[in-house]
Amino acid sequence: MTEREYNKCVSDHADGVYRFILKNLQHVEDARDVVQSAFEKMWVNREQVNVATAKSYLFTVAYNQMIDHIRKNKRIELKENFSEDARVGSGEVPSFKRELEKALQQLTPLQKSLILLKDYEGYSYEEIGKITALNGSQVKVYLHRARLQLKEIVGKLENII
Amino acid sequence: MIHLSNYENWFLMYADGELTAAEQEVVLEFVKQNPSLQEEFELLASIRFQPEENVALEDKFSLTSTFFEEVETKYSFAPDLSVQFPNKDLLYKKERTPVVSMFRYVAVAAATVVTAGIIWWMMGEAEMQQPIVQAVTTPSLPSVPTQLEPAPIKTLPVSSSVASESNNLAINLPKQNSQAQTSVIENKNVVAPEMESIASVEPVALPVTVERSNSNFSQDALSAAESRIAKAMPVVATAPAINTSVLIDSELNDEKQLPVRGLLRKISRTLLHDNQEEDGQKFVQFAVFQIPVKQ
Repeated sequence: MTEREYNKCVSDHADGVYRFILKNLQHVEDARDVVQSAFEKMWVNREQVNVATAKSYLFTVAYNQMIDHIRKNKRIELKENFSEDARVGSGEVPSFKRELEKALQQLTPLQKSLILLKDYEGYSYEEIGKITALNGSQVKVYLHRARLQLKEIVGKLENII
Repeated sequence: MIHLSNYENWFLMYADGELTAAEQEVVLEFVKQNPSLQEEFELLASIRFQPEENVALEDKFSLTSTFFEEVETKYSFAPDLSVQFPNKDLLYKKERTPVVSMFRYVAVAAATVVTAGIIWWMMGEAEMQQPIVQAVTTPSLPSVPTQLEPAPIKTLPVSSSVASESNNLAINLPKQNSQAQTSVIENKNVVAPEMESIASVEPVALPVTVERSNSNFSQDALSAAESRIAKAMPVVATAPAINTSVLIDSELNDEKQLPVRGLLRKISRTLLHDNQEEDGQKFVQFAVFQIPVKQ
């Protein structure tokens, strides 16, 4: 990977990796640190990284960095005003979507990662498995289990409402 | 095929986007046919997350190659090689090797050698004693002819030094002539005690051969000596030939056994005593123990 190709990866994938990490960590600075660490690792190993697999490489490194960060710091906090901290647009959010976001934060980091990699990036089960060090069958089972959990949480909230 | 027992898996695959267009149509048709599952299907299909496009990383410069190169160049430091640790001798370490005491190995080796030597010496003693028994019980002795022709009397040197020079000197002496022989010849080749009985059964001749070639005396002197010996020693018959080498060996063995026998005798004298008490009971005393012996 040349320098120009590396910088193109920054332009193309930095936001996607950042969204993925931010959604998991719910912390802007931590998400930024994780993304920067992932890109720094790719820069150091740029000679071994292929351009075609650069995105998958980035997500893999960022995911591992994020898991390490969670284990070390254990400072995942469910913040009520997440949108303000993360500088997410504070437009009108439908109630269902807001409840769904809350339900997502009740999942484990692995479940969140599986759902976000699937919904955000559209990865297949096998591609998600490569990022999260699982096989395709495991990804499918864990992902369906996470969705059913979300359905249960959201279903209860809807019934309450 | 989708049915009531596996529809949930199909709904989840639909939510994951893993179904083809045809499979999606099958799922939608199944939901139409089962309106009770409509709500569940819509809920699962709605649990999908879309990326917020407005969420973006503001400072992408920290990810660019320029940033990393600047970090590598600007914030790198070259070591000052002039700064050195003052006393490296304090840091050098040497692994301790276990000290092996050579004295122990030398002691073990010496003990082994001494033990082996004693065993070898005792084995040698046993082997040296074995030929004596074989010589005494040799079956060749009965085959000695009883009627022997008189052997020619050989001359004997007067001087003992002449006799001692002769290595091939074969002497068979009857018991009664032994004194005369030893007075003339100082030779250690004497008949063994075991053979005395055999030699004394009949008068035997005295085959004496002297290698004159080795003698320092003149022929005349030797002849004169022979004649004098012939007068002094009347020979009746010849003795059976006896292997003197066996006799020599047995005598040598006796000499070798002497120290051991002496030692054993001393031990037996010290430890073992035959005592007879006043009542006539015999005891054998072994050190401080007295063992009664039946008479």
